[in-house]
Amino acid sequence: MPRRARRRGPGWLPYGLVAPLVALIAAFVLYPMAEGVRVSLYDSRDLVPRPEEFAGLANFAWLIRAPETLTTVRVTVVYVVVTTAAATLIGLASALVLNASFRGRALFRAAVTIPWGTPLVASALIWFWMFDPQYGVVNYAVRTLGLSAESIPWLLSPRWALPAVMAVDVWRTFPFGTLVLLTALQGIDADLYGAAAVDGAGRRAVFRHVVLPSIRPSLLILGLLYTIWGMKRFDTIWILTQGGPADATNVLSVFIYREAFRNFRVGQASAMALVGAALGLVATAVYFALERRHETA
Amino acid sequence: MTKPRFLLALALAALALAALLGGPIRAAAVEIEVATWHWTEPARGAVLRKMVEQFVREHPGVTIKEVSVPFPRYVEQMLLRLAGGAPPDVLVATDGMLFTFLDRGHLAPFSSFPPLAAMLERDRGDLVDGQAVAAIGGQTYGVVSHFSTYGLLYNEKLFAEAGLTKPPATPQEFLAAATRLTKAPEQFGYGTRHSMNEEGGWWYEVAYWVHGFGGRWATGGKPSVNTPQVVGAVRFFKQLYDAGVFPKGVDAATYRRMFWQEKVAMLTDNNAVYFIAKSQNPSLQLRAAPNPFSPPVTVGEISFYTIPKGAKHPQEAATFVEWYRRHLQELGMNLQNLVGSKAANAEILKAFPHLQTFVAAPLAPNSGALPEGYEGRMPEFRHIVLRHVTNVLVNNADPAAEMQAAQTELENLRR
Repeated sequence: MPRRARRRGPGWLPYGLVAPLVALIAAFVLYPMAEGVRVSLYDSRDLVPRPEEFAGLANFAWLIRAPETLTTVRVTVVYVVVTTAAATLIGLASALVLNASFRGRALFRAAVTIPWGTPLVASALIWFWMFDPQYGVVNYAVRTLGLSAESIPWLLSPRWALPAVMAVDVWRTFPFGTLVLLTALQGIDADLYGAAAVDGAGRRAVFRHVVLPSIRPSLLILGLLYTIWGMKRFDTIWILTQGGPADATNVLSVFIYREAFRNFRVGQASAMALVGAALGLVATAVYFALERRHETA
Repeated sequence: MTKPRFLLALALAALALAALLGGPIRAAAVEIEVATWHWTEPARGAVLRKMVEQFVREHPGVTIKEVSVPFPRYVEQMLLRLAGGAPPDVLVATDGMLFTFLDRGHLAPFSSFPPLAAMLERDRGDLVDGQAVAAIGGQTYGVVSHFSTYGLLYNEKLFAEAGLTKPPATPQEFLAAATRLTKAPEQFGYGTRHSMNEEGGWWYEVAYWVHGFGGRWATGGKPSVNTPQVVGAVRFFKQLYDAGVFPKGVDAATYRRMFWQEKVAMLTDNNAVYFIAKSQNPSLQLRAAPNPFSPPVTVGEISFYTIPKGAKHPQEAATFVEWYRRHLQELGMNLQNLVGSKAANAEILKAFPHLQTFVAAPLAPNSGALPEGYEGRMPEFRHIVLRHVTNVLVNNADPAAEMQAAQTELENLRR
C-alpha cells in the first residue's frame, strides 16, 4: 500500500510548476544580488570591473574608515525612523477619523489618497516650488502666520533640508497607511465594541484594549513596509536636494547613486548597498521578532 | 508547365526583376555608429542629421547609425558599452567626459588614423585654444566640435533705469551694480546657480569666479583650493549670497527665464544662453560684456569628437571625423555657436558679432572646470569643493577654514 501511494504521488509536477518562478527569482533577484556581492570585492573605476581590479575586502575597510559612511548611515536612520513613525501615526489618525460616521466621508476617503496617487516626480517638483524661499507658498504661510519674519531657505539650509524632505515623504506615503489601517479597523468585530461598552470602557480604553490589539498585525506590516521604502527612498531626495546641502540629506541611496554613477566607483557603491541590505535585514528581523513575541505572549 | 519548370521560371523572373530594380549587386554598406546626446536635442539634432545626409551622399557605401542617449544618462550608458566591448565608432564627449573615458583606457589616439593625423598636421594653425585639452601625453584623443564659454550678459534697459552707464569691470563693481539693480522680490541684479541640487552647473559658476580671481583648482597635479585666490573667490560669492542680489532657491531654468522676462539684470552664463534669451524675447536689450576681471578670463565646456578603442569601423569613423571638421562652419552658422576652427569662427563672428565677447575671453587652463591632474575624477573633486562652499554660504563658515578643510580632504582623496 505505501508503495502504491508513492507511485501515485505528484512526482515532478510541483517542481515543474514552481520552476518558472524559481528561475525568475534566480535571474532577477538572486543573480543581481550575487553580482552585487562580487562587484563589492573589486576596486574598479569602470562600470564593469576587470579581474586585475580584485581588491578583497578593501571597499568595506574604506567604508569603515570614511567619515561620510557614518554621516550617511546616521542621516538614513533619522530619515527612516522619523518618516516611518510620522507616516504611521498620521495614517492611523486619519484612518480613525475616516472610520467614523460623518457627512461627506466618501469624499474625504477619496481625497486622502491623492498624495499617494500623484506621480512621484511631479509631486516632488511641485514641492520644490512650494519650498522656494522667495515665491514659495510654504514661506508665504510661515510669514502670514507670523511664525517667522524672514523667509526660510528650506532646501538650502542644512538645518531645514532634512525636515523638509521628510515632510514631503510623509505627505506622500501616509495615505497608504490610512488605507491599510482603515481596512484593519473595518475588520474589527462590532461585538468587541459592544462588549467593551458593557464593561464601561471609555474611548481611551477601547482604543488601547480593542482597537490597537486588533490592528497590531497591520501596524507591524505597515511599519516594516515604511522602513524598507524609507531606506530605498531616492527620487524625492534627488529631485529636491541631491543629498545636499552639505550632505544634510545624503541618505544611503543617494550615496550609492553618486558613488556608482557620478564617481564610477561601483565597488564602493556595491559595498555600501550591502550595508544597506544588512540594515534592511536587521529591521525586518526586529519586526518579525516583535510579531513572534506577540504571538507567543 | 511542370512544377519544377514553373519554379525555375519564377526564380529567373525574380532575378531579372532584382537586376532591373537594383542594378549591379552592391557590397554591404559599412554602418558607422555615432554616439551623442545631440541627436536628442531638436536644433542640434536637426543640423547634425543634415550634415550626416551630406556625408552619406558623398561617401557611397557608408551609412551613419544614430546612437541617441539623453545627456543625463550619456556617460554611464557609454561607459557600459565601452567596458562591455561594444563601443560606438564615433563618440562625442565633453571635456569632462573625455577624461572619464580616457582614464579608463577607452579612447584611441588620433595618431592611429592616417586621415586624422594628417588633419591635425594640416590644421595646426586653425585649431582653437580648447583643442589643447585633448592633447594628453603627446597624443591627441579628440577634435573640438564646438564650445561654449562664459561671459557677462546684461540687460541694458535695466542698467539705464538704475543709472548705470557701463557694465562692471571688476568684481567689486559687479557687486555694487548687482546691489543697485536689485529690488527684491520683483527684480534681482544677478542670477546664478548656488546649490548642490545643480552641482554640475554650479561648478562652472564657481569656476568662473575662481579663475577670475586668479585661482586654480589644482596646480601640478596637487589641489590648490586653499590659495588666497580661491578663498577670495569663495568669499566674494558669499558676499553676493549675503547681499541677496540673486534669487535664492531657484534653479537655472527659472532665473534664466526671469532674465529674459527682465526680472534679472545680469547673468554670468554661456554664449548659448544669449541665443536662447534673444529668441525668447526679441525685444530684450541684451548685451554681452567682457568678464569683470583683468584679464577677462573665462571658463567653458568643449565638445569633442573621439574614436573609441575597439570601434568596429575605425578607419571609416576617422574619415567621418575628418569630414565633419571640414564642415564645422555649417554647424556653427546653424547653431549660432563657436566651433573648433578659427577660420570658421571668423565667418561665424561676421554673422553673429555678439559672440566676439565670448571668443575674445582667454580660456582658463583645462577649460576652467577640470582640475589639473584630477581631470578624470572631476565629479569627486567638485563634490568635495562645493560641499565646503555650501558650508560657507549656508552655515556662515569661514571661507579660509572651509577651503583648507576641502584641501585636506582632496589631498587624502582615495585612489
